[in-house]
Amino acid sequence: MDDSLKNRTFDVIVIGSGMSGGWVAKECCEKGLTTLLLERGRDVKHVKDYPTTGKMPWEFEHRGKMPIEVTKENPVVSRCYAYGEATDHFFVKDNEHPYVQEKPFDWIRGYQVGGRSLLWARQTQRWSDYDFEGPARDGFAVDWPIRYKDIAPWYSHVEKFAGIAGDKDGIPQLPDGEFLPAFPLNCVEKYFKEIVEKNYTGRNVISGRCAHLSKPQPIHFEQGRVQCQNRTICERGCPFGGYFSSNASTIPWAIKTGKLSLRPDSVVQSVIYDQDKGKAIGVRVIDRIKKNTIEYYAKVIFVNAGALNTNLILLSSKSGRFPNGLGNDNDLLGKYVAFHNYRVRISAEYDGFNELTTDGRRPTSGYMPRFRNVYRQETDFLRGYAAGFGAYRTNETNTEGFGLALKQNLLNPKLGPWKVGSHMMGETIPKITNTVALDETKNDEWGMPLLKISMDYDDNDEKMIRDYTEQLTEMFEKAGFTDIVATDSKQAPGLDIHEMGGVRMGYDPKTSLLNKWHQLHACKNVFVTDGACMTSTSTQNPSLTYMAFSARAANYAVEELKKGNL
Amino acid sequence: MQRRTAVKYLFVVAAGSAILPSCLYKKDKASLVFNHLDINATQEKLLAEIAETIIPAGAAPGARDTYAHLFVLRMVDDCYDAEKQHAFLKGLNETDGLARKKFGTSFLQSHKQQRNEIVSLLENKRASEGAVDFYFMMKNLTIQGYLTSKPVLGNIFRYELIPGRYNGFSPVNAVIHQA
Repeated sequence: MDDSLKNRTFDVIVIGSGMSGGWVAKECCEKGLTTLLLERGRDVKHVKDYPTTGKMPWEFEHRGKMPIEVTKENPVVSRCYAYGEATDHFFVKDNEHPYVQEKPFDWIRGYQVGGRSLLWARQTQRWSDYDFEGPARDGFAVDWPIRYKDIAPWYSHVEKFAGIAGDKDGIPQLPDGEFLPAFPLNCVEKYFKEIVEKNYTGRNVISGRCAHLSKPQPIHFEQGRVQCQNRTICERGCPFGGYFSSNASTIPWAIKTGKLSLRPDSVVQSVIYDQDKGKAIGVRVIDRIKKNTIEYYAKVIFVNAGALNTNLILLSSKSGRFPNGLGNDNDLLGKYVAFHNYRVRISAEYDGFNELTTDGRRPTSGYMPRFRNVYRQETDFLRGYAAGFGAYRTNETNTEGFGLALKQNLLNPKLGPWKVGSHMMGETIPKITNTVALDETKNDEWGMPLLKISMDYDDNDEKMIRDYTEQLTEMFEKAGFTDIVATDSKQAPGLDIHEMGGVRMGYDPKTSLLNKWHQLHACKNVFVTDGACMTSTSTQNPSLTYMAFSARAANYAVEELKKGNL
Repeated sequence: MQRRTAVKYLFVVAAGSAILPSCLYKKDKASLVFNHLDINATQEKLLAEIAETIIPAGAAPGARDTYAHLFVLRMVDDCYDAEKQHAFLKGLNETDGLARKKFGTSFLQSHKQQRNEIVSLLENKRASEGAVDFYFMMKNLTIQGYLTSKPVLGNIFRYELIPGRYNGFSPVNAVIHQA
């Protein structure tokens, strides 16, 4: 492709090829718009670029562990559960892309085509109005400018295409969707579900809805994806396309339309604002390898760089009209960022169902939707938490002694008791004191200012931690679980990998950055539909909501373009 | 399946003997290249025999059949800090010293019964602290390498990369449990 102006001009530019950017590109291309999809990292082609996907455990030199030199140099990424010898190539190393931690923040990143959609935990629970109405009811942040009815059809739209396994559980705070058959609960999980639902009103245990093809439909075969094979080594990339990723799904779909130009190795420096036209006209890119600057132009620009990097790009997009960053008239850009509180885990044992165990593997587990403060305020903290719940048995091997006796024990492990575990997923309240900003002095290799992150837990989070621990302990006791141990990891914000906000949605341009269609109030042809747009966090894993937001906003942009409004 | 495995090993052996002559000029060179450890072929052999004493071959493969000692070396070289690496080598020498002291011969030259006696002393912590620390590090890594090796995890426990199923109500007897 030569660099003529014509070849650098598109209908739409999408910055970021991860979970949300992939959706925007797909929708725009399907509607016939020429679309440039920019990705700061290298290209990762479905199947071809999953080098470890077919490896047996013994093919890893260190059986999954990273060399000590790597973990010492990269303490942040080394704390991520999904990082290891099999996935090393999909994670950003700390020293490759530094950032400034005003307060401890574990920023887990995947700079490549597909971004973190290759690496996500694939849990896909819908929001309800009990989530969207949270800020208005409880008096924090600002009111969401949308409600469940606005987004529901778009949840359906993305669920059908992505493929979501789940049960229709009929739970008001966790609306049902377009589901493929659920991955079933096992005997102990089902038992716990019965105990909880018998002893409490408004508390449920369900099979966690997840983006896996339990029973693929024609639309999935058309994407080249087939049934999930229960490998549960998803983070290596799935050659079956068994789970949803941009690489397996939206990007190849967009490419098939002939409308997509995908440009990896494109570090976006800024969105270009034209004062005379009163809108954005393009994007300034630094080539990751050659380090030269090149400009691309479009009528519409979607910033989907991943929540915090979207903040970084907008903050860096300074102009005469916007000296503090694009659309930042109220100086709230980069403020009210938030995350999910994943600090506590509870484990226990269960002496029962000893004649049963599990066979095979499963890409999800049990899930307890939020039950605290759903209908009214009932605790001394705001909002609530969802909880994961899983039960499993493991081998117990006697490693005493040596020689043939030891070998006999090693080769004949005993099946241990059932173990159960839960982790919390707490809503955190966005605060003006939780911020990201540009560092005044330090730049990266591409001349971009480093992002300075300052986020922390607060008293509400600590109270919620106590309540989760008490409530889960009580439910575990009711189920007859023993040896109940709760552990507060005290992990820093960020390790939840659910960073959100900074470019929040709202009705009022004085108190928010984006309108109900995800357009910057002050620059209507720039859209943000990744985690940066989040006004509040609720408790659900956020990706499904980003996908639905992206599809909805992209289709709105297409309509507005047709009407000549952008 | 077994035939195929045997054929595969034949290739490994053939490849090994093809490379071997060119290495011979460097006497006593270990078979792996290390980043940190200074290990010679004799020490490598010593580790292989200690591993084999911990998990001996019989009807089922032993530690040596799974190259567990090479896994141990790879892990110590890459995944432990300098202090642990130093302790490992020191403990290895102390272990060999124990054999010399007790039987007047190195561990490698001692016979099976003597090797078992040495490992029994280590297992029961009746040796120098350095030797005992080395032994348990060696033992744990040997077990890990053994249980995750192809002959054991693959052929005996029949590890499945692609299970294609999940049953949460499976009778215990119906399942071969993968280590």
